[in-house]
Amino acid sequence: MLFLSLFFCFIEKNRLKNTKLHRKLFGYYALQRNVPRVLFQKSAVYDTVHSDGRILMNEKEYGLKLKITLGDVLFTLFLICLTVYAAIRYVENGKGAYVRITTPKGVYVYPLESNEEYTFDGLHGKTTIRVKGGEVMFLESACPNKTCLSKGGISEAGEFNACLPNGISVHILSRDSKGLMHFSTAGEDVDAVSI
Amino acid sequence: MLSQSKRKIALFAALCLFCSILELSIPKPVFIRLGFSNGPLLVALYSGFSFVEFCSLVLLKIFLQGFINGTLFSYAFILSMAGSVSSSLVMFFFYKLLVFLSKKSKRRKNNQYAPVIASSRGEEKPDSGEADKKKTMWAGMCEEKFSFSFITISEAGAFVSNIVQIFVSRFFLGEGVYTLAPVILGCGIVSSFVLGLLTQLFCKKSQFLDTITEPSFFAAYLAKPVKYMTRGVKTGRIIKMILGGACLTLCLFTDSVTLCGVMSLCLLLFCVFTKRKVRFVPVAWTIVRTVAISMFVPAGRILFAIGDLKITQDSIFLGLHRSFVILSSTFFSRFLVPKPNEEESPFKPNSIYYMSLDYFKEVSEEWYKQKEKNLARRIDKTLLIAIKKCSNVW
Repeated sequence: MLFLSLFFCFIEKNRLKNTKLHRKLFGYYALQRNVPRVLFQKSAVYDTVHSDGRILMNEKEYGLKLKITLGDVLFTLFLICLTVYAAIRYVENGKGAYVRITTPKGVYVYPLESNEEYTFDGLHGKTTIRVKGGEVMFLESACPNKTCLSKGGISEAGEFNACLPNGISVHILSRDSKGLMHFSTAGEDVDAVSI
Repeated sequence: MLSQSKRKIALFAALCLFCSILELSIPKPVFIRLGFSNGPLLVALYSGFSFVEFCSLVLLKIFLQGFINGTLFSYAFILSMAGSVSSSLVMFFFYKLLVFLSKKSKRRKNNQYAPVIASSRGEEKPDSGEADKKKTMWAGMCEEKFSFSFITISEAGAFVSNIVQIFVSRFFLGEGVYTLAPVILGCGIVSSFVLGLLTQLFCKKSQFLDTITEPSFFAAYLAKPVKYMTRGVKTGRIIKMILGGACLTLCLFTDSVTLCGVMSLCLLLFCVFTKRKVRFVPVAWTIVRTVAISMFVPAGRILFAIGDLKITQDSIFLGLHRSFVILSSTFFSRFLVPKPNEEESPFKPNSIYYMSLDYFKEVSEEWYKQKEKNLARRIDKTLLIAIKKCSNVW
């Protein structure tokens, strides 16, 4: 609204200039003719509809003669800009990172903002992973050495944690990262790490 | 007998309904809405509705659509309520602002014309009669003087309504809606541009509008008593309410997708047994759309991928769950909301609701009788004949 009112002030200021262009754009030509237009020359109802249902239509033109004013065009452009801005803003601001969990049985993806505990089947047994407050950590794992538990929570995009014996790895991916687009198949990550 | 302004409101609400029927008859992709039913709101602004009248017109429009489509107790109603109320407020204030600005500039610019415009408030030209005021105001607001026209107003309304609807629908469609937001807003700009153009055309060309803006018109016409008769609340309605309400509550508060699906199926069967019309294509579309929107926030096992989009297991279930909730609310409302011509309808026989339905009936009947090929002419003719039929003066 602030923008609009500034815009109107701008128009008002320009009108004072009273140039030919401005008169043309904002329609002063008609007003200077001094003759107010009156639309109702006659009582429309009595002339158009008869009691027996016949209708006398005026010989008005029903063709398409439309007028798009400068203000309309500017406002449309303004809205389009807003939409594009919103779209760009959405893409850039997409902080929403994802957690990718690779298990022997398949690849899982969860939003980092979710607040839940997930349990997966690994090579040795079950592994429980908690996603809470933007942090991912292993809660329980059926592996012998428990190194995955000792690392604690990870929260930054790009961080990685894995339970190698059980074949389960956790990646944090940002929204636009390639990792989400070309997700690897089960087991590949684990191999890479163990090498 | 209803007062003049009530009759005016009823007529315009009926026109809104008629326009939404017209919109249905135009083939288009399912997810795009043209918003034709906002056209009469623009025309109503143009024909000088006051704020209270305009608000009651909008409310009546929303409730009429809720009753006729049977969406009164569903999510669709909440959406349309939020969208319509916000957009109509914006449209009203935009319109007033534009009129105010143009009046002001006119007064400063051209002294001869100024009193004519200002006389709509009756200060500078006290001797002119009511009719004159109306006419000159009308003439003053004609095409050549608006540097912003209906296009601007309708675009502003559509934009605000879309934004509000996106924020509201986020609560029952999930975060995925934001991904679609630019597309929805873009479509809204295009369709409201078209709507603005059409309204402009209508206001310039229509004889119907000339007719009803005649100051004496609503005093003399459209005073026919309405046809429908009603009775009070029946016990059947209470049973229905308990039955449907139980299903809906189960559906809303359960976590299991299966139970939710079963409950919405139950409600669907209730609808079928009570002979409510249920169209299956929109139902299928609702499911497809909701699941698709849920896909934008991936969760759970990745089943397969289409380009960038991951199809994940949990988000499919979440989408199904959401669509079942939406559908069950729709069925519930269709099951419970009385048909307009049903005897157990809770309205007084001479209320504005039935008045509006009466106009709507006449207009839509007349529309299908017309053979006129030119669309603008056909609309105009239809409306003229319909208001003639609705008036008992002849």
